[in-house]
Amino acid sequence: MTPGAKLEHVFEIQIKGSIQAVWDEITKRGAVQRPLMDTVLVTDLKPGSPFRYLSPNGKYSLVHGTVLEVDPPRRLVHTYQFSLHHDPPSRVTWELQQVGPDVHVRLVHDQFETETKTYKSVKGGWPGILQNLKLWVETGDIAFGTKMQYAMFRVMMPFLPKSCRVAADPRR
Amino acid sequence: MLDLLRDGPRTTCDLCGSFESSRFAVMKHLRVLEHARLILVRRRGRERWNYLNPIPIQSIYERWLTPYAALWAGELLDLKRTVERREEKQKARRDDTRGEARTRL
Repeated sequence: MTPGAKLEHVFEIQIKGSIQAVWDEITKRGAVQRPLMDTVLVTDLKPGSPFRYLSPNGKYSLVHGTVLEVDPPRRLVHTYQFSLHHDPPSRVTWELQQVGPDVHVRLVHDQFETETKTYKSVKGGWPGILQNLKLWVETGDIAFGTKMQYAMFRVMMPFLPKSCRVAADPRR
Repeated sequence: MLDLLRDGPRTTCDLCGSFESSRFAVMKHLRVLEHARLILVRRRGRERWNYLNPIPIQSIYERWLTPYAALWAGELLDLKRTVERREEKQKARRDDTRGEARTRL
């Protein structure tokens, strides 16, 4: 690593389709986002408002944060905290750009102060999510392996710690 | 180049310094990798920071290797490593005995 390198992740994927279709998927509310770990996004997408990914039944919070910037259908910025870990908030930036028949989706996850659990876990997490986002927009389905993972996750959900329960902390 | 970037982002300047080839040659490689979206570039002030984008590599892996093929490829790689290590050990032993013979003489 070059000295002075900041701790941040940058990923990019090309999706065949319209920028609006990709934007609608990453900002979908009221129904699960299949590519995004089968979570339900709860937010009013206004800067300063809460931004949360909840379990389908709304009982558990997986990620919580605050909306920082919304510029449909190009840019979405929000803070990011795993409800499971007790790491300081980091920042996620979605940048969408239509290039001919493709949408270039760039995801930057930055503002990590140290190599936190969040830093390590999203490094492997985002590529899978982005690949499933591509599959979902292009074919209407996600990878078989991911579905198995979700099934496992649903079984494990009741064993999540108290900090993940929305009832214990409604802000989460 | 990708191996270097796996540990974290680097500036173009730093990457050029890590290879014996000319700056021009390194830049040419960088351009090809950037074109293939294997490297993502972000500018910070006057510096160009290069990031490894693992997604195309993962896609190729998933596209070409079924779980079954991956298992066999893994086994073959293990075999290659075992045989190569054994040969290295044998060679080291041969060198040792030769050395001993020489001291005896």
